[in-house]
Amino acid sequence: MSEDTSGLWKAMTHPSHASYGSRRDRLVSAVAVGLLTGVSAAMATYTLWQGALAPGWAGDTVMGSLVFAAGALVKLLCQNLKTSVLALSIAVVVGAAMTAAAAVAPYLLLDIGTLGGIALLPELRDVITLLVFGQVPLLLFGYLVAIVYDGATA
Amino acid sequence: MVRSSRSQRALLAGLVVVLAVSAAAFVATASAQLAWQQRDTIDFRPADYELVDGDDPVLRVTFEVRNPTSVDARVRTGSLVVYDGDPAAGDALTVPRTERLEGDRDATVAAGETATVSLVASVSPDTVEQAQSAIDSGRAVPSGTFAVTVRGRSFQADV
Repeated sequence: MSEDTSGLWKAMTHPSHASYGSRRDRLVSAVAVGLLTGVSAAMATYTLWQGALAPGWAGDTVMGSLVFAAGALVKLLCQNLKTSVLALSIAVVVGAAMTAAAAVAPYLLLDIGTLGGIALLPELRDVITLLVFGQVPLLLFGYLVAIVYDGATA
Repeated sequence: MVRSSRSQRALLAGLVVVLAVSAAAFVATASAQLAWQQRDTIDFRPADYELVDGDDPVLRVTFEVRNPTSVDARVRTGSLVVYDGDPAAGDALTVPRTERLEGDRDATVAAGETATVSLVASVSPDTVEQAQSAIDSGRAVPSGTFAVTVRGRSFQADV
C-alpha cells in the first residue's frame, strides 16, 4: 500500500518521467496533468466570459495567456507524445464540463427558476461559443507551441 | 531526452502559479456574478428629510443603503423626485432632474454593510411651505431610481 502511494506520488511529482513509464504511471500523469490544466483553463475562460464582473487585474490578455499556458504545460509536463494526447483530451473535456458547470451554477446556488432549462439555453450557447472559439483553440495552440519547442530542443 | 527533475519541478511550480492565478480570478468573478444575480437585495430606505431654505431652497434626503451582497456596490443618482403623498398623484415637491448626491458624484457601499447617502434636490420657491408641511407630517415620499454599479455592470434600482 505504501509502495503504491509512493509510486503514485512519484508519478505526479515527476510527470515527464511517468509519461514514459509503465501503463499505470502514464495514466496517472495524464489524468493529473489533464485535470489540473483543464480546471485552470475553465476558470480562466469563465473570467474571460464575465469580463465586466472580473477584478481589474484579470483582463482578457491575462486570462487568455493562462489558457495558453495551460495548453503548453500539458505537453511540457506529460513529455511523451502519446501520453500528452491523452492528457490534452482530458484537459479539453474537463475544461468544457467545468465551464458549463460554472455557467449553470448561479441558477442552482441561488435557486433561480430556469423554466425547465429554457433559461439556461442562452448561457450554454455562450459556453459553446467560448469553447469553440476561445478555450479549445488556445489550449491547442499552447500545446502545439510546446510540441514545436520540444522538437526544436530534442 | 526526458526533462531533468529540476525542470519538472519548475514546470510543476508554473502549473501551480497558473492554477492559483486563475482560481483567484475565478473566485472574484464568480462572487461578483452571484452578487449581480442578487442585486435586487440592495435596499434604499429614506431615513431623514431636511429642508434647507435660502435663495435656492433644496431638500436633502438621507438614504440608508444596505448592500447584503459580497461585493462592493457604487451608487450614483438616477432620477428621483420627492412627492407630497402618493407619487401616482404626481404632486412633486422637488424639481425633476435637479437631484444629485451631496459631495462626490458616486458613493461606495461596501459588501455586507450599510451606508448613508445624501441626495439634494432643488425645491421651487412656490412649494417650500408645502414641502415643509409634508416633511413635518411625514407625507414626503421619494420615488424614482438610483444607478447602482457592481464592478463593471450597472442597473437602475427602484426606490
